[in-house]
This record gives sequence, structure tokens and C-alpha cells, in this order.
Amino acid sequence: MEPNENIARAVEVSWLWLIPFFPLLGSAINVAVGHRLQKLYGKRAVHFIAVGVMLASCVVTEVVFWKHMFGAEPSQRFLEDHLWTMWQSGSLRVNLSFGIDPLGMMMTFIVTHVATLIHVYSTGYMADEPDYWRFFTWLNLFVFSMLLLVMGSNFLVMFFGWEGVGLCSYGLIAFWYTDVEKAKAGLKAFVVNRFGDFGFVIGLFILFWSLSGIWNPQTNKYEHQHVAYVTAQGVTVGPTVEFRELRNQVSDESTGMAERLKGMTFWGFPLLALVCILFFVGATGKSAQIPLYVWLPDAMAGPTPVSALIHAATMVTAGVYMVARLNFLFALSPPAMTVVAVVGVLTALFAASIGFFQYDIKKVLAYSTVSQLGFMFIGVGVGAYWAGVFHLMTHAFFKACLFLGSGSVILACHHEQDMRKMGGLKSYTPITRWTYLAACWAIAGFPWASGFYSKDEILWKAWTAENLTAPWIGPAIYIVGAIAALGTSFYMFRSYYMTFTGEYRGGHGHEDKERLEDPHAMAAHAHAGAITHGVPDGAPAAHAAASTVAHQHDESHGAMSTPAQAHDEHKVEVAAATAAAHGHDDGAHGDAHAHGGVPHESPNSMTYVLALLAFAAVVAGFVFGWPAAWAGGHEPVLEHFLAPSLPAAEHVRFAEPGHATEFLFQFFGLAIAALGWAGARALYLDNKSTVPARLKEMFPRAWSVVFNKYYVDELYQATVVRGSLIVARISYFIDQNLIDGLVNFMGFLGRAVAYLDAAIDTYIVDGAVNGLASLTWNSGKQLRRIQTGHIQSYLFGALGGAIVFVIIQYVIR
Amino acid sequence: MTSIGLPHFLIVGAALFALGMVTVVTRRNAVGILMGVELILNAANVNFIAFNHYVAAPGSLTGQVFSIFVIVLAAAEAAIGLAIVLAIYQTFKTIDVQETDLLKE
Amino acid sequence: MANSSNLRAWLVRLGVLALGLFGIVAVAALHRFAHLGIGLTLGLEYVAVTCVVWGLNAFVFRRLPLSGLTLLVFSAAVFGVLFLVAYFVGAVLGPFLIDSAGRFIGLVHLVDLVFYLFAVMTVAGAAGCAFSRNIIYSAWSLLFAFMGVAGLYVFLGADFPAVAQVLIYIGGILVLILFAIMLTKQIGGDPKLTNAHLGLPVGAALAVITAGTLTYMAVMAPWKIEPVQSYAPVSAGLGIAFLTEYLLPFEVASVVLLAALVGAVIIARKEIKETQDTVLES
Repeated sequence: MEPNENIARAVEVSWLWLIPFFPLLGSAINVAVGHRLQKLYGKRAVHFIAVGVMLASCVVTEVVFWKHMFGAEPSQRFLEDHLWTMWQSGSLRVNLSFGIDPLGMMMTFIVTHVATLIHVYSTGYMADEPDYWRFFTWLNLFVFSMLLLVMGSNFLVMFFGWEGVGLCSYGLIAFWYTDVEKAKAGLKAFVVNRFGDFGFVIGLFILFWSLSGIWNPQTNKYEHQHVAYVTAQGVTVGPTVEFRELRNQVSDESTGMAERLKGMTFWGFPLLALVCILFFVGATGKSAQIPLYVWLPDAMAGPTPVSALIHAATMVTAGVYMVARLNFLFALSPPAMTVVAVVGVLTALFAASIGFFQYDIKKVLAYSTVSQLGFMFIGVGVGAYWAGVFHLMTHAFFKACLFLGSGSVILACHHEQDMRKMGGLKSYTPITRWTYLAACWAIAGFPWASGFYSKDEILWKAWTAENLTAPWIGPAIYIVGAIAALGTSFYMFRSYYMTFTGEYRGGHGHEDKERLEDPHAMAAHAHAGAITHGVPDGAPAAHAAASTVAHQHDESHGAMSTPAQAHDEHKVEVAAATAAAHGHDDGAHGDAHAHGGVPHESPNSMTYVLALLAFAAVVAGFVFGWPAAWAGGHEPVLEHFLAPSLPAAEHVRFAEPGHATEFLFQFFGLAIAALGWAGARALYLDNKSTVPARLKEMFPRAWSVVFNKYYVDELYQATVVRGSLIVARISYFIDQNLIDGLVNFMGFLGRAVAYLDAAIDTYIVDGAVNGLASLTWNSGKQLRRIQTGHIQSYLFGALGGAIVFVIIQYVIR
Repeated sequence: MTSIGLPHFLIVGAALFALGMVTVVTRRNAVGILMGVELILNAANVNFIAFNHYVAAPGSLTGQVFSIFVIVLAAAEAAIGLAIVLAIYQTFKTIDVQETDLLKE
Repeated sequence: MANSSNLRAWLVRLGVLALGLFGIVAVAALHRFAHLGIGLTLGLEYVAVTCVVWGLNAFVFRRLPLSGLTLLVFSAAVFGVLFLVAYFVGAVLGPFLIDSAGRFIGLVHLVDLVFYLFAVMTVAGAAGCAFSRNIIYSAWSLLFAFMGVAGLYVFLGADFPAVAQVLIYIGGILVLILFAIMLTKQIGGDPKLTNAHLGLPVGAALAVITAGTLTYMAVMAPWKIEPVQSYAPVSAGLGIAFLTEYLLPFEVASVVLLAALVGAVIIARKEIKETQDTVLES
């Protein structure tokens, strides 16, 4: 029998668990003994462990890819590693198992590699952090959770990862928790994500419910049966949480599952649309789409490497990944796909428009991330799953590069994030400047850098999409998306020109106010972290200027720095560092950073990472996504690679207007990018133009609305937050009055029993004799009182007696 | 066909009776006590008519006849009762039955 | 005075707000009943929403005064949200609710509802009579109890008793009671607490036990239910019964009524006469 192409059979690879295991191990070591290690052996020990486990994880990933994926048959690309069954309940069987298919492979690759690079970068960026071990504990734990998310072979493992990354995101955003604003930002991210997760869980329940029962081909009816069975093709049909089994039974038409799901309703709703939209609600939380995007800009309170890793490259793409992972479900429901795509494009435009007027460099990048995530959702929403995932990959590279570049800039400007106080950094930080420019080039969508290929592919697919609920939606998405792309190009180059060209506008050294507010800066002041830049000698010539300047400042601030450097256990390290630092770029960084001065280039550990990411950002596009129109119809490498994971891609229809049209659209995309670039250049180059300021004066109201993010946060504050507070107050009231009343009542009851006990003692034991004596007298006295003369009392007695007799009548009978 | 049956009416009658009784037993106002008596009479009437409808042979009107007599007696009772209340009021200058405890003597 | 121009602006805003609200409803109605085109409908709705937003701006989110392009953009956003909500309600929630309501209503007979209406009215009226702390409220509650009982009579096919109930109880007895209330000085100092209780908890317990016992009896007893119940008019039958089978009781009742009439007059008149005498004597 011809094996069915649609059925994925697992290849058991028993060591896949190593990939997530290593980061978990690193996290466990650092959380257990990291603090002590840092005290005893310095920060070097902590980051050797953290980076080491990441490298190990990378190596395992590479081995998996080259050994099992590269060149394997499409049907052989479903690797699974079943560790054990966590629990079994009825037909629900939850395994702790990992699965890697091409999509998961790509994600695992991105996660491990980008995370490793960012770990390395963090060793430079966080060099002054006293809680160094805590940072790397969280970071490793995050990578572990993210790997669970992308490698989980079933919904439950994925959900563990899903929640785990949320937790780590919370811990890392609120890393400097002594600052209330940052702690609040962490809390906000956590709480907003809960809204989405709720949708995700409900969707999962409904999906699981819908899978029970089997379809009988003879009667063409759905028979309710809670047992899974296996068809002749080897497809398990029935309730399952395993992605692969779900994929098989939905995409293999002989099981009838797809038809059944399409026809099912849940309380009158089409089931598939409901399930998919609920899943997408989960994705909007995690991937910061309208209406749950509000946490992401605030998440910039975290350290910049965290922003790069979690809030740009990996975690926020989890929603896109999930939609792509469940492509076979989404493809069956055009309404759900339309919702995904429309929300995506609206988010893209909305976030891009906010990005125009932000001055905080990280906020610009945050809104840019929200916007780019919107583009990814357009891709997976219109059915171009591979294009969405491709954009995910390229975005991981260039956005990580941008974020890390911004981190380098922030470090160079002494923890200044306001772009109005930057400028002219291109001569001080040449490597950062060129890498930032390359990433801008990529994100804006100029050819040969990666953004061009992925974004244009997405928009082209949106134009030709035919699987949406109405034919005009696709072109509408294209138009709005093109406007958003124009905006992207504009604000990215705006940030570039504001930061790197013109005159340096920042102050020299730390401002006192900032030092008081920013615990990181205080930490930086506490001691010189030169020792952590354990990168060998060999500073590029470009660093010489910064180095010299830094040394000059070393002189002037020497007196001030000495007491700080002589900080108990770091004494030895600092002495060693001082010895090693002369003529050494790292030392220059440490000193200059701690004591201020003109901007300076970051240490090698950071610039090398920047260069690597910029290289990837430029190259990844044409290596993986050379358009079919340019290659004579050969599908792009990545699309071919991902095809087994995306069985629905074959069923989603696109119009094919021909290559000429596609070229036209590509040219149009290029024109848009160029337009945005030209606009930004005209307005912001060297910060000379007065047009932006005048525009701001001309439209102050519009400007303030956009600058204040359309007051969405205020709206949420007024509705959701205030509503929750009201509920909390009501609960508090209930607690105060009802629960406490109950508790008090129980206390009262106890006292009453005690009194009763005392009364028994006094009156029954002691008073038995006395009581007997006075009984006669008292009873006579009491009985006399019955004679009240009130007719009602008599009536009462009569009725009560009658009732007693009636009841006795019933009881005796 | 309706699902309402005899027990439903009997339960309403029981509730009316119990509420009338509580009124009669606990009111301090003599007029209030009379209201309670009316309620009890109404409870009896509901039962009469319900039994007449559900239990008696078709065409039999005994229950309804009785209910009419009860209404007649209720009217008489109300007239006399309220006259007595007025008389009590004249004698004791109050209609609080707590004050009228001459039976004690 | 600055206030007058403020007031005028305020009134204009209010007018535009009302106009916009009316417009929203009117356009929706036109679309629904006069088959207005979808594009035109959406456009007009947008204009109406803009009016509403502008009008509302005088009262809420005043920190953000809207005009010109901002107004259009903001109202577009509001319109979008409203549209989504309306879509959700109209196309998703509404059918769902209607569907659920249909299923629920299918389980309920209308006749039963009428019965429960009267039963609740009766019992609630009686409870009001029993527990109200003002004698006037008690009397009003009694009215409802009587009405409910009359309704139950109709439900039981007893048309004549129902009418008699209304005429005699409500028209006669209740009016009499109200007169009695009027003619007597009420107890207690507080005019609102004219109907105090004595030993209410015990009385209520007694009532609960009584009601429970009676209910138990009513439910558990094996009544001989006639299979066919008649709903024919009963007035003629009652008349015949009174003048044939129940002639003697009927006459006795007449005498009782006469006696009551005379007795009531005597009891009441004697007292009045006495007071008059006292007045004359003093």
C-alpha cells in the first residue's frame, strides 16, 4: 500500500531531551549555588556555567539537525522523544515528550542560537549587576521554558512552556524590582498574559471535547465514543493532546475528522472558528496583539538583553509559532484566519503609528516589535504559514540585533534611553552604528537584507489570498500593511538618525537624579566590573579613542572611585582587573562606564554578538527565502524545509497573477521602504531639520494623542483595572462581613459551649437538690404567668397543640 | 396540557393559612388580627374550590357553594369584628390587644 | 455672563448627542426595515457615531478635547469598536440568546406561568400583610392577596366566586378594614410602626411548621383526581343549587347577614351614643 504523504510517523530519537535539559541544569546550578559561586570565584564562574550550558544545548541542536533533519525524507522529519507518561485519565493520556518537526527544528535553532548569543552579550551588558547570578538563572530558565514550548510534542508540555516563559518574562521584566515602576511593568505583563492564557485553555478544552467520538463511514454519522482507535493507515483517531496525532487525523481525509470538525457547532457557534479564535486569543496575549499588546512596551523596563531575547526574538513569537503549529486547524476555518490576519494588520498599523513619536529608543523598538508581530500574524492568517514563520526568523535576527544595538547605545550614553539626548554616536560607537544600520536596512525591507524577502512575501500572499471570508479583505490587508511597512521604514531610520548622526546631545556622566532612580546605575557606581569582561586582548583600532578618553577620566575620577573599588570581596578581582585593564578595551569600558565621560564603544563580548546578528539579519533573507519568482519557480529553501510541518499549506489557495505582477509588487515594496527612509533622512538627519518640531506645534493635539499611545492604557485603567478593583472591594466586603462574621460566630459558638458546660456544672450538678426543692414553687409561679389574659396567647397554645397532634398522628402512623 | 394540579393549589392554600395564622397570633393591632382572619378564610376558600375542581364529580358545585357561604360569613364577620374593634377602642382607648387583658381577671 | 454661552454650548452638545443617538437607531432601523444599502448604512452610522462622540465630549474624557481630524479618527475607532460589538451581539450573541430562550420557553407552559403569577401574587400579598410594619401597607398587601386568590378561582373554573371575591372582599371587606384603620387611633408613637408584632419568631416558627405539615399532606395524600375537569360557567348552576338543594342554608345565611347588620349597627351605635351622652353630660 502506498504510504499516505499526509501521515506523519515519528522517528524516535531518545536524546532530544538534552536540548532543554542543559539550560535547566544551568538554571538549577545558578539558583542553588550561583550566589556563592559569584562570591567565591567572581561573576566569571556564573556566566561560564550559563553560557556553557547554552553552548551545549546549541551543539545538541546542531547534531539533531545535521544527523536527522538535513537531507532526510520529508516523512522522516518527525523526531520524537517520549520520556514518560505523566498521567492518564480516561482517554486523556499526557506524555512528557518532546517532538521536533521541521517547524520545531527551526524554532529550536533560533531559540538556542540567538539565546546563546544574547547570553554572551549579557556578560558584557550586565557586568555591573550585583545580582548577576539571578539574572543568568532567570535567563537559563527562560530558555528552558521556551524550548519546552517549541519542542513539546503535545499541548500540555507546550502549555508548561507557555506559562514558564510568562513566568520568566515576569521575573526578568521586574528584574530590578526595587524600582516600583519596573515591578509594576512585570506584573502588568504577567496579568495581561493571563487573559490570553485563559482563552488558550478554554480553546484547548473545547478542542479536546470535540475530538471524542468517531465517524462511521457506513452511516456517514458521528458516533459518540470516548475511545481512540487506529485506522488501517495507522492514524490514531480520537481525543488526543499530541500535535502529531491531531495533525494526522485532521489532515488525513479518510478519517473524516476534518469534515466532522467543520460541521460541528458548540452552543451554536462553528466549533473550529471558536477553537481557533480562542487559541488566537492566547496568541494575542503572548504575542502582544490588539487588544492585549499593552504589556510589551512596558516590558522594556527589563534589562536590554531580556528585551532582545524575550520581547523580540523568542517569547513574543510563541503566538505565531502556535498558529503555524496548528495550521491544519486554522486552515479549515476561513473566519478564524480572517480574524488572525485582520487583527495582525491592525496591530501592525497601530503600533507603527505609535512608534513614530516615541523618544525612548527601546519604546520605539518595542512598538516596532508589536508591529512586526502583526506582520507575522498577517502571514499565518492569510495562509502563508511559511512566510509568517520566515518573518519570525528574520525578525528574530534583526530585532535582536536592533535591541542589542540599542543596549550598546544605552550603555554608551550611560543608561540614557531618550533619543533626544543622544546623537552623533557614529564616531564613538562605529560597530554598533554599522550593525544598527544593517538591521534597520533589514527591517525596512531593502533588498538583499532579510526583511525584504519575508515582508514582501507576506504582503504579496495577503494580496493574493483566497482563503479569507471575503475577496476584498486580502487587498485591504495589503494596503494597510503597506502603510505600516512605510511607517516601519520611517521610524526605524528616524531612530537611527536621531541616535547616530548630528552632535552628541547627552550630558557627560551620570546625572544625579538618574543615579538615584536607577538601581542599575547605582550598582554600576558601586564597583568597577572590569573583571567580567573576560575577553582576550585584541581590541579593534576603532576602540582606541574611547579607550584613551576613558583613561583620562580615570585620572580625574580616581580619588572618587577608590573607595568604591575597595569593596570587600571584590578587592582581589578589582586589583587584578586594574592590572589587566591598561591598554585593554574592557578596562576602558568598566571605568568609563562607572565614572562617566563621553560615549564609548561597548566591550567585545557585545560587539561581536552584534556583528554576528547583523550578518545573520542581512544574509538569512536570501539564503532561506529566495523568492520563487526569481528562481524560476523553485520554492524557497525554508518553504521546502517546512513543508512537512505545514500540511495545510497545500489546501490554502492563492491567486497566481504571474511573476510580472509579483515583480511590480516587490518594486512597490522597495519604493515604500525608500520613501520611509527618505522621509526620515529629510527630517532627522544630523538633527538639523526643524520640520518635526514645527509639525508637532502645528498638530499638538494629534501629536499628544499618538504620543500617549492613543490613551489605550488609560482606557484599560478606567475599565478593566477599575472593574477588577471594584470586584476586589466587593470580595473584601464579603470577606469582612460574611467570612469574618462566620469566623466570629464560630468563636461565639465555642464560648457558648463553654458557658453551657459551666451551666451544666453549676445548675445540674450543684443545683439538682436545690432545683428539686424550688421546682414546685417555681413551676407554680411560671404556670401562673401563662394566664395572661391575652387571647392571642391562648390561640397560640391552641394552634401549637393542634399542630403537635397532627405531627404525632403522622409520626405514629 | 397544563402540569398544574391539585397539590399546587393546596400548597398556596397552606401558605395563605400559615401566613394568616402568623398574622392572627403575632399582631398587636386588632385590625391586623382581623386581616389575618380574612387570610385564613381565603385559604379555606382556595381549598374548597380546588377540591371542587379536581376531586368532585363533574357538574358538582358543592365546593363553590361552600365558598360562597364562606364569603358571606366573612362579610358578616368583618362587619361584626370591626364593630367590636371600635367598641374595644371606645372602652380601652386603644386597639392594642396587649392592653385588653380582662380575661386575666 | 460666561455661563450662558457655556450653557448654550452645552445644550448644543446635548442636542447633537441626542441627534446622534437617534441617528444610530434610525439608520439601523432603516437598514433593517427599509433595506438601506450596507455602504450607506455604515457611512451614516459613522456620521451618527461622530455626532455622539462630539456630544459626549462635553461630558466625558474632557481632558482630551476632540475636534477636526482627531474627532474623526477617534470616532472611527469608537465606531469600529461599536461595529464589532454590534456584530458580536447581532450575529453571534443574539442568535445564541434567542436559541437558548427558545429552548427554555419550550419547557414552560404559558398556563403554568399564569398560575405561578397568581400564586406568587397571593403569597407575596399575604406575606406583606403578615410582616409589614405599617397597617396601611398591610391593608394594601391584602388587596393583592385577594386579587391573586380571585385569579386562582378563575384558574379553577370558578367564575362566580371569583367575581364575588372581588366585589365582596375587595369592594366591601377591605374598604371596611380601611375605615376601621381610619377610625381608630393607632398604637405606638411612630406613625410608621402602626402594626407591631409580638413574639414574631415563635409565631413564624409555628407558621412554618403548619405550612410544612399542610404541604406534606397536600403532596403526599393520594387524592382521587377526576380525570376530566370542567371549565363551564357556574353562575346558573350556583343559582339553581342555592334555590333548591341549599335553600335552607341560603336562608340561614340571609338571616345571619341581617343579624350581623343589625348587630354591627347596635354595637357601633351604642358606643357613639355613649360618647355623645358623655359630651352632652359634661
